[in-house]
Amino acid sequence: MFPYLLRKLLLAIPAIWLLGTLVFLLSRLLPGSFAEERLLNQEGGFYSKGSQSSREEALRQYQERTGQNLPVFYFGLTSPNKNTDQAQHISLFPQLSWHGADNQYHRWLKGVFTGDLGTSYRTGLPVLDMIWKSIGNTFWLLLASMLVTLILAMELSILMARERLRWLRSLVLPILFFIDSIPMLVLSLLLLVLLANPDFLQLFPVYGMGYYVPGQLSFWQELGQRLQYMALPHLALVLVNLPYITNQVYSSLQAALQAAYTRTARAKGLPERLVIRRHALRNALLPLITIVSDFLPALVSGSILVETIFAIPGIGRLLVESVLARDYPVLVAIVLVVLVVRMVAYTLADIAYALADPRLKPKLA
Amino acid sequence: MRYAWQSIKLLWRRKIGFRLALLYLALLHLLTLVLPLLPLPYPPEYLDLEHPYLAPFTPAAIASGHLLGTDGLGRDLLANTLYGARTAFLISLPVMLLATGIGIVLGTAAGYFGNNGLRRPLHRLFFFLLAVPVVAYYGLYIPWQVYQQGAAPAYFWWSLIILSGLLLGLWLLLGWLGKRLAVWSSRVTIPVDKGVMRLTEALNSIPRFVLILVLASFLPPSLPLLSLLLVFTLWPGTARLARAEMLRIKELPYFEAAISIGNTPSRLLWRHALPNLIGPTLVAFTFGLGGVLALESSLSFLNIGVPSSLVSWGRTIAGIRNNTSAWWLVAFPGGLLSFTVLALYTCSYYFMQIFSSKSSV
Repeated sequence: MFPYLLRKLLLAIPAIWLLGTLVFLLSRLLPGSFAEERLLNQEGGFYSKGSQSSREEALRQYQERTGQNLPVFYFGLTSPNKNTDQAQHISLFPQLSWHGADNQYHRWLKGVFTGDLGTSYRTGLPVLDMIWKSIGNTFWLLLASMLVTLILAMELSILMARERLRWLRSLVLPILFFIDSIPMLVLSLLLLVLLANPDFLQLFPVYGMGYYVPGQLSFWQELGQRLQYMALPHLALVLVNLPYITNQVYSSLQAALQAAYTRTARAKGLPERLVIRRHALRNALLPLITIVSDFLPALVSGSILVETIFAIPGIGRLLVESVLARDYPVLVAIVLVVLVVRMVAYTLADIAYALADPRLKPKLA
Repeated sequence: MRYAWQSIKLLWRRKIGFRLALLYLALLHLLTLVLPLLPLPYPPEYLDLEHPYLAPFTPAAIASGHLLGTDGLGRDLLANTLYGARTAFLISLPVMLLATGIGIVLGTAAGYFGNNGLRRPLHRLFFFLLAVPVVAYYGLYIPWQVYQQGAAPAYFWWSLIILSGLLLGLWLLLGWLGKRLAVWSSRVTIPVDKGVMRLTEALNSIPRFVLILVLASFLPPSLPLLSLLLVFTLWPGTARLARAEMLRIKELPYFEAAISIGNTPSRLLWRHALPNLIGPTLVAFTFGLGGVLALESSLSFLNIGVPSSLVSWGRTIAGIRNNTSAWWLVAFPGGLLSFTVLALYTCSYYFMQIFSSKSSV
């Protein structure tokens, strides 16, 4: 078990490094940066009162301070000193030039290994702090909605699997199919319009994570306030994910009900409830581990929209805000975080599989 | 091909749900095609600042001609919803077609050749390896620089001339080497399967929506670039499917027979494998189309990657952020979007029923 995990980890690190490097280089190589957009903009903006030359001076100072005037990579096609008037010059033959270790990529990579992911262009805060602050909200949102979805899916499939409740199946499956075809965006906005709107039903508060209260709230008070505000986002995520998960659980339960051990359990004269719960369900839950870990990407993209719509300060909202502001250090860091989280999730899934299914243990060793 | 067509005709006759869904899709498509010719009371971009946030079907709305109401800037909701459908199809159909095409080509190649099915002489391989940076520099980098700096077009022509000269020279040189030295003409296996699978894994390791958002922030907002980006992130799904189907087909007796009578690889793929691939890809295509529709409206809702002058469902829906009581901004475009996705999923469901039951026999 342990060597297997170690091998996976060793294989994952170069992949993460490669992808992170690619995203970093793409973010720096393509034209147009945050600072250029803000500082050189003629109309409006904070610096609009200054002349063109003072704006350019401000940009140069800013780039020097943040290290953006350095060459991007160890070597490049153009010469590093851009100050001379070379902009109009195009050489038909590639001029490779060596920039040495003092470049943006080297600094970034060194920072990653020492736990410093740079500072945000937009807010000037360390990126790691920003991510750390928002990752908790996303984590609880995803975890709680996933748990509710799983429990609901399991109970629904158990009910649908029973012979006497056949009518339920012909009712639930089409409804789930219908819900599945409503995109996340429309579904959460519909919930917002229907359940948090004075014109229809004002059941839930609309935006945010709660209001500021002076002094410390007790645990239960805070939980109560959180629950009010998080109810709609959770509901949206559960509704969006429920159809797919229920389908998977149901089909795997069906397969387990056809198996020989189920027939034996039936032959022993166990009541159907016990046959399903104790014998079929336990085996049907095995594939669920893979389904849940495979489901992570969909969950992440769902949380991006939900967090934006319900104004929850989480990773998804941070991502959208950074994309809109072209805040590249934050974007690259989020990509790295997502890659690491995915790797951790896969490793956990492997461990869970080995613990749940003793037949797998010798294969993994 | 004829077989797939016959199964679809059978579905059309037997299943009323399939007929409804297909009719709806066809009608919507026709509507979006003839939309510029229709006499709508207002064009989608017309700002009727006298009537912002008109509720639909109220006397004021009917009197002013905005049957479905207006948004915060007085843009007509009916026109915006219909033109939004046009934009959505205009983006999602070519994107999905292109992604499916790339996916089929790469996936079948991976499945058919496997890891040691494709053998090429070493000198040919070297040529392609050397041609990639040459094309990247003279074919992409220099034209881009010329375009960006507005330099004389002579540079562009010169780079094209150098490019073709270099390619020709490399081809001749390596071909000559291949004839002279035995090492250069030895055949090397190319692990097509491994390459394609690694590529799809790398693309799948970041959630698609995150990848699209991050890459879209690097590019200027424009429709063609966004479409290319979507294609780039969507092809791995089809490629995996096509590869799995190809592996299955390769084991079937009829394919073995086709190999044994000496068909060429291209004829094998085109005549014998592709017709059997069409069913499963059709399932994935209709299903993916629904996903792209939702993706496009989410992106334009977030105003990422698309110019804000683009008429789309997402932009109309985004109006709800300024005024939560304007329910019609979500209900009409969102309803049309949901019904379209529902119709696509229904088609996909029925396709899956026929194609999976036949292919398992």
